[in-house]
Order: sequence, then C-alpha cells, then structure tokens
Amino acid sequence: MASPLEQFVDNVRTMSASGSFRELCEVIGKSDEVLQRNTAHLSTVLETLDIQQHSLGVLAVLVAKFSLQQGADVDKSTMFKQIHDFITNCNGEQVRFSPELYAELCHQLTNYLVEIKQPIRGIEILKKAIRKIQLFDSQLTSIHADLCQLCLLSKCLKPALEFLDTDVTGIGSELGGNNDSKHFLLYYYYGGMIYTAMKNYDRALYFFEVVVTVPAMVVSHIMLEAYKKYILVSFILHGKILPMPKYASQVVCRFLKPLSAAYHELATSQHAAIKHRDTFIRDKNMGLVNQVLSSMYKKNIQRLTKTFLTLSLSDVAARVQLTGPSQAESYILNMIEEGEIYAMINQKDGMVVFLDSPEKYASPETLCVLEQQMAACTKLHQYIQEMDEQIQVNPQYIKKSVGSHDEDIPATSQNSKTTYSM
Amino acid sequence: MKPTVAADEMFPEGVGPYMDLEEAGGPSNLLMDLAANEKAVHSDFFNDFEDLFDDDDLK
Repeated sequence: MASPLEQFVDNVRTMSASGSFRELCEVIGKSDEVLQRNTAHLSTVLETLDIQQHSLGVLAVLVAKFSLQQGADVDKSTMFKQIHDFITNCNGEQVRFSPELYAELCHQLTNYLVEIKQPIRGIEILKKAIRKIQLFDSQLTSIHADLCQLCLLSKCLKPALEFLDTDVTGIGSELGGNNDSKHFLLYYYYGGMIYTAMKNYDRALYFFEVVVTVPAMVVSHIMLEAYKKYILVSFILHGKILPMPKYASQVVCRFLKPLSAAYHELATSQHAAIKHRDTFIRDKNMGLVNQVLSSMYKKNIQRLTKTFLTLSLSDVAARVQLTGPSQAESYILNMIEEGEIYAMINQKDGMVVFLDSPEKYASPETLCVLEQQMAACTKLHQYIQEMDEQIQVNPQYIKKSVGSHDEDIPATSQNSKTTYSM
Repeated sequence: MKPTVAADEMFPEGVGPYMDLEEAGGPSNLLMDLAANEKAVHSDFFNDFEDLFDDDDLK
C-alpha cells in the first residue's frame, strides 16, 4: 500500500492534470502533518514534481520544508535558490488558488534573508512574487510588507516606490476577512518610514495616518510606533500635531496618546528633546526629532520673511533663538538652496534681504501640473463612484441595510416606512 | 422542593423590564476597555532598523 507521502504526490499529479485546483488546495490543507513528518524525503518529492505543472504541490512542499517549526537543523543553504526558481517559474493562475501559502513562502524567504543579513538579495524576487500573485496593479498583498522591510534594511528604498506610489484599491484574500491585520499595518508603517527617509513627508504622514486610523479594539505595537512617527512628521510638515481624524478608533485616544507623552511634549517644550533623549534614541527616532528641531527653526525664519524685508544675521539668530550669526547664515543658505525662502545674504555687512517668490504661476509647467492634478481628481471620483455602485449591489450590504431598517421601525408606526437613499 | 429564586440584594424588587447598558458608556465601550486592558498585539513585529532619519551622517 502506498505511504501517505506517496498518496500526496499522486493526488498532486492527478488533480493538477485534471485542473481540480480547489480540491487540491483542500488536500494540501490536510497534508501538512504528513509533509512535516517526512522532511527527510521532501527533496526527493520536489524532484518528482514539475514547478510549472504542479505549482500548488511544489509550493506546499517548499513551505513545509522551510517552515520554522522544524528548528535550526533544517538545511537552508538551497532555500534562496529553490524559492527563486519557484517564484520565477511557477504558474500564477495555480498559486492564486492558495495565496496564503504563497505569501507564507515569501515571509519565510524574508525572515531567512534578515537572519543571514543579506536583505538586498530578496528585493527583485519579491517584486516578481507580488506581480505574479496580484490580480491588478493596485491590489495590496501581504508580500508588500516584506518587500518594504527588505528595502529598509538594505537602505535601498527606490524599488519599493513603484508599489508605494500606487494607491491601493483592493486587498488580497490572505489580507482581508478575519485574517490578522499585521501585514496590512506593517505595509503602511514601513511605507511611511520609506517616504520619511526620502523626505516625502506628505505621503509619509498619509501612510502613518492609515495605520493609526485602522479600526481597532486592542492596542497594536505597530500602531503605537506609527503614531510616534505620525507626531514627528506632522511637526516637520505643519509645525504642530495635526488632530487625528474623527474616524480613528477610541484606542488611539485612550492608549496611544498617554504612551507617547514624550513626543507630545515636543509641542510645548524646546527642552523635551534633551529631557527625553533616551526615549527617542531607544525608539530610533532621534534623527527624526533632530529634523523636527531643525524644521522649527526653519518655520520661524519663514515667519520672519512675512514681517521684514531686511534683517541682520545676528537679529535673525536672536529672534529664532539660534546660537549666532554663523548658524543663522547656514540655515538661511540651506533654505535658499531648498527653495523654502527667497533671499540674498550680503556677507559684507551681514544683512539678509528677503525677496518675493519669482513664481508667478503663469508658466506652461504650472498649467501642466494643474491639468495632472485635475485628471487625478477626476479618476479618483470615478473610482469612488464605481466602488459605491459595487457596494449598493453587494448582497451583504443590502441584507444589513434592510435588516437595520426593520429594527429601526418603531412598533407603533409600521405603516410609515422610510426609505434609505444611497 | 421548589428551587429558590436567586435574588440580587441590590434589586430586592427584582430588576426592571430591561437594563440600560448605554448608561455605562455603551456595551461596546465596556468591551473595548476590557479587551484593551487585557492584551496588546503585534509586540513581536520587526522594527530593528538603524535610525534611518539621521541627517547628520550625510554631512
């Protein structure tokens, strides 16, 4: 009689040949224990299966082979090559039947590369893995978070941008439903960090905002760290902590704010950066806190340009509380370079002349930017309309809205039914 | 023997036809407090990056 492992291989072969992939997924779900018990033979099993024809079977064997439960005695020397070959050659339509398992394999690869301190090796293959499993470009998968993690660790941030710059309009099944929100939160947290490192603070703030406004019943440590960075980026961008949107969960107000008291103190006291230095260093946010301090000086200098036409460097230093004219000069030069103010420094007499912006917003470039923004708004409006239409015909939504409608009707006024406008 | 009805000494006349849970901030708030006090999630998430925002190392 055939062993359970032989039966598994047989099932993979016959079901793959007949295209019964849904049934095969069920078999795979029940074969976990068999595969775990036969780790010594899994390499032989892999040799008997074809990556393209038996993608689901190979995927299950690879996940079992490299799963963490097996401990440290697993030979991982061939792991990168095997997963690389699989992702490159597997059949996308087949593996879409089991996105959870496919994502699990990518998580395993990510953890392995982090462990051996070679994160940069995984970037290209994870990009390929995402493109293979996605149904459309703006679909978020749990592999996105892995890619961002490897980009941050290797300090090679640009490869993640093609994904981060695409606004998400749908999420993969392994991320939705009752599944853990961890990878969703991680994607937006890591994404926010990437944008912060690239000084795209506007987008970074939006990403951190998504993390802290996810509906929540318990405190997530990812949310807490994102909230700290939300505060700092908000300071850099707006000079103050922006109020949280009203749809943020009560957990945020009740627990995250008291847990980030040191960060809130930055708004009221200049000495908070020194007082809570240890906290900021422990959170690896000291660099960002220094940027906040620097941006405060810059905001104050910008404010001076609204009042004065000329000012001596020592006056600038005194008014914005810098140490002296040389520090004021360095700040102003830096701001002129970045296009944050328009000014000239006369080094002979140590005077600064503040100028008006030369931009008259009448150039073809400005018109082009305006047209692009209008097109983006129109597209967004279309998206919203389409999503609204989809919700209106969603059976679950109709059932729910009709159900709550019935509950709302008072017992005495059943004849005076109201209708919902959607 | 008939079983005795367990009476709540806070309500010697018995409770009213319904209890207004909204008075205590709503049942959802109670649940939220309970859940949030009991546990926090994702404490093991990977956040072991160097300080990526230190501009001083660029100078």
